[in-house]
Amino acid sequence: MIELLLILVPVVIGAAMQFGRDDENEKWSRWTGALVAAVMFFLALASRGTEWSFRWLSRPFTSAFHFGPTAISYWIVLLLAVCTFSAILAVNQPRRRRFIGQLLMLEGTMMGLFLARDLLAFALFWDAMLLPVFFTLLGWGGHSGTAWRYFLYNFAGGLTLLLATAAFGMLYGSTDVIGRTDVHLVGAWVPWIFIGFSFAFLVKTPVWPLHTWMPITYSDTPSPMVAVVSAVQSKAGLYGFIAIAMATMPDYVKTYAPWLIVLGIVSLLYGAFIALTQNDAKRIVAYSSLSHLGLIVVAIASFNPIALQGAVLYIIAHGLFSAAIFLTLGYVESREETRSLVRLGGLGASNPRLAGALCIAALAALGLPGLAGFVGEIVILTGVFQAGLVWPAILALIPIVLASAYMLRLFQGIMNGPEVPDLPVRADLNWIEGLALAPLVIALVVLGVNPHALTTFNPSAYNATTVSQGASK
Amino acid sequence: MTINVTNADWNAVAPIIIVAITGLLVLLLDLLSPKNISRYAAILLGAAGMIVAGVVASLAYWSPAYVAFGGAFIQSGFGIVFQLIILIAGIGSLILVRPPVQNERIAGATALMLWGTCGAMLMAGAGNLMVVFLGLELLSLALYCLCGLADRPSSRESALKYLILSSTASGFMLYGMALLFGASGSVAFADLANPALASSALLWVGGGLFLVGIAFKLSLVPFHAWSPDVYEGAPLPVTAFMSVATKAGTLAVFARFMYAALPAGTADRLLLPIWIVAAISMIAGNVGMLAQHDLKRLIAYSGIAQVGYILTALAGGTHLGLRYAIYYLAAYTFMNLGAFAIATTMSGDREEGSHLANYRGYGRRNPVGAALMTFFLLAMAGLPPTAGFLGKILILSSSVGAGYAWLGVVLIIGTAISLYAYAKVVRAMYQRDEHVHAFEGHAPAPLAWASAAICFVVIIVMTFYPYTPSNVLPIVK
Amino acid sequence: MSQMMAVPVSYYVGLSAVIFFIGVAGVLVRRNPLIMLMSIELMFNAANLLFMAFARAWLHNAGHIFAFLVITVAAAEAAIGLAIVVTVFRSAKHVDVDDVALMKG
Repeated sequence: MIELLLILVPVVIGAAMQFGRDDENEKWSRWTGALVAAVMFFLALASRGTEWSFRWLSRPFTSAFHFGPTAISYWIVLLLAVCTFSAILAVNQPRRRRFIGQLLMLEGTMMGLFLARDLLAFALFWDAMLLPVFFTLLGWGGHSGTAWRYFLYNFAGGLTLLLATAAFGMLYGSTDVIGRTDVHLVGAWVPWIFIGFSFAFLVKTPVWPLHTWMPITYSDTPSPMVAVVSAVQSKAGLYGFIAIAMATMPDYVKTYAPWLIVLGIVSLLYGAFIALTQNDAKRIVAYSSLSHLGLIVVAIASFNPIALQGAVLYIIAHGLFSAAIFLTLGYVESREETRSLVRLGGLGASNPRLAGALCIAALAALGLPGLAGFVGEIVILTGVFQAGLVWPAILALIPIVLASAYMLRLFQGIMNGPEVPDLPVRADLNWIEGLALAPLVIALVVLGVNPHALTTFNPSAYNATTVSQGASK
Repeated sequence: MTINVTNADWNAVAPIIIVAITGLLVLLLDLLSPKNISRYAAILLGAAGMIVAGVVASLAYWSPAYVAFGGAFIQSGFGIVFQLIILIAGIGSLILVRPPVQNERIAGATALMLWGTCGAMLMAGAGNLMVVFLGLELLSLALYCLCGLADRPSSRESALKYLILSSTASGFMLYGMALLFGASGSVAFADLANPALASSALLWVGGGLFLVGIAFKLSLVPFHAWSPDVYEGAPLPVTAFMSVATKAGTLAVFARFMYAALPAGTADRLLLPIWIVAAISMIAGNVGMLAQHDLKRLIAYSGIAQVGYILTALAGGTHLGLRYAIYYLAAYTFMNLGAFAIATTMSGDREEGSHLANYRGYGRRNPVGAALMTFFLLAMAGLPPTAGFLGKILILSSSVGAGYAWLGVVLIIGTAISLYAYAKVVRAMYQRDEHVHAFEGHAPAPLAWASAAICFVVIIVMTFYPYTPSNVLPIVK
Repeated sequence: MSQMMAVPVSYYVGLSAVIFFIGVAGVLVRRNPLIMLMSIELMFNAANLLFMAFARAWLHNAGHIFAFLVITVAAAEAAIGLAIVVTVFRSAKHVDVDDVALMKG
């Protein structure tokens, strides 16, 4: 039942917040939203090991509304709850109540996605989670073309996912497969099913060359929303690879793994180089995400248990630091009304707390030891190297070096240097804004110092055959 | 051959008779009662008659199939399910007729709608070609008149257009029926399934012409050009009725022809053109939607594509495929009726609710209405959590299972295109455009709101309890 | 097969096909709704002829019944069709389907 609450409560409350006049209850909406998000966090904590199932279809294949966290998605769900809490506190957009409602609906639909133990439910929430972002982009984003591009790209992915799910169901007779270790799909159709899944996952992640929706979406979406999208929604594809593709059709993943590695490496390099050249602060982070997520794709495709553990660690770490960076950039943007590195500068002197928050998040992003990002990167690289993929491991080092360059450039461009005279200087972080960033920063430090909690999960228990096969060959 | 007509035969057609007599009662009531009462009474009486007919029809759902009138009419689970869908379409569109708006002709319109419903119901239960033709013409004749009801030139124009094009299609269908009769020596569907006919030229030519008529009535590409124009000209409730009832009745005939009337081994070859046409329709219908500025035209094009989806479910001729086709048809009925109900609540005497321009900023003027409209449009696009989503999944799986995966792929492509068109309307509703002339609603339309709410609930329930009727086969005993 | 069947059924099929195509051509070529309605009647009657011929060939009276049915339906259709043409004529003052083009598909 917890799962059902996790999905329905945010969706229903979020939907209810869409009604009423524009300017009503603006003040209370933040606290209502934050309270809901906080309750969701504790519910998510308590959801470990629970399951809930309700029969949906019995033909042409069996399917169920089957929800419950898997070993991996448990952490992603917690990440989602934390990010939503922070994002809601950080909302300073006009028509705040509606905006927070959209964030809650996004949380609920993504809860559904990550808690789903049934492929059909997964596909359902895959499409559903696009809607809050789409409506937010239409209502609060800059250019409506962005909303369309985001929606059409991802919906195209959703459709191939749907087709692949239908084929999967027909072939296997059931879609109630996520988190099971005994499902092995064989047959002439399976490559096509795999390609259908992969397309959806790769668009969502995104991976070069399917990424073209992403930079403009990230720079146009208001910061609180993009924090959640980049932190959690972009992990849906990676989670899909681990929990669905690798678990049910490992042989085909292995066949296509070289291609995935190539795509991952290209994204890594491409994202890092482009990030160096951007002046829009949000775009820098967007391209850095492309780069970081490419690393996770490489880790997944390397079929190594250590790399897989690193991937999960890095999924969580990237979620934390990208959410923190985007929220901080949102604060900067609301203060200075620009996010161009050319115009910004010298904020650090007058806004020490803001500078500190951005500093920690940026350092985590560039992989400073002691913060969560480093742990993920080092474990992934070790695993990839151990899997015998020497060249990919070496190539993956380049963007990690570049990450220092663009992240420091981002930080210095905003915080250091002389104070720019024509920028409005406003107050430092107030306590609400600090409260919004606190959970993310604390989690970054805690996981960086002690990543034990995350690495204790045993990937071999999750998909034993997959990973051991990968390791032995 | 002598036919003994018994009480059971009359029971089989009881729902149709009830609807037909209700039509007469409505006219009588209009004559006898004062004008301001009879307008509402006509609608309520008509709806009540259809509800009674629906209850009577569904009573026989679980009883074994009965062949009435010597094979002319078949009472079976299959026919009853289609009749119920048609009755729902009839009720759902009849209550959209609004007395303050469409004044004097209400009783006549109600009666015509009831008789049109009769025609479609006859098609759903038809056991031979004669009854198919009778039902089809009863439906079409009623619709010709209904299309011309509104007092504006485009309405009369749509009636004329529909009259000529639809009659031509009926001519093709009738000629095809004559050839089929020549091939088999019988007008019964069951006698066409004779394996000896598999190589008969008359059967192939006749079947082809028959299918041309079917394709026209389903408005499949390339026989689709009439439907946007006719839909646009017809009054809103009539368009709602036409978009569902005609398609439901024709699909019933097509399914019966396909499942029960084809000699073994000919289905794949004879029906191949239909699948190709369905595939083209899924693309062309959705592409056609992109340029529309009128809700009725939008729904006409959407209907072209949606019929393609339903045919995709039928392809391969499996039992499950038929069940999913019915499921999707039911879902389609409720989405369409819901969208038309919202359009009605926005309409005055000039049918403002059908102009998409009037939806700009609707989200602010009426959040509930806009939310419902969004829901219905997204259901048509097949987004979760709607029956459209689940229906597509079911259709995809049955087409993959039946070896028609290519149709499933086309369906996916079509859906991707359609999304843009539906979402464009949604976007207009939530657009923040300050200097749009504030279009306010008209007289209250409680029945239309109730209809929209019911459609919403039904679509949600259908998503989570996907009941698909199980005793629809065999179609002909 | 009856010995009265002096004319083979294929002759009837051929004749009816000719009539049918004249009807189709009329609908496609002519632009006057009245003539188009007449052409449609021609199509219906071609089918009627076929029904009668096949009824005779198969010695099955379903064809006769069908033909009567078609005649009835065609009469109803003509009545409604003429009424619609008249209403269009009243508002447009002349009838030509090319002018009936408020809505372009």
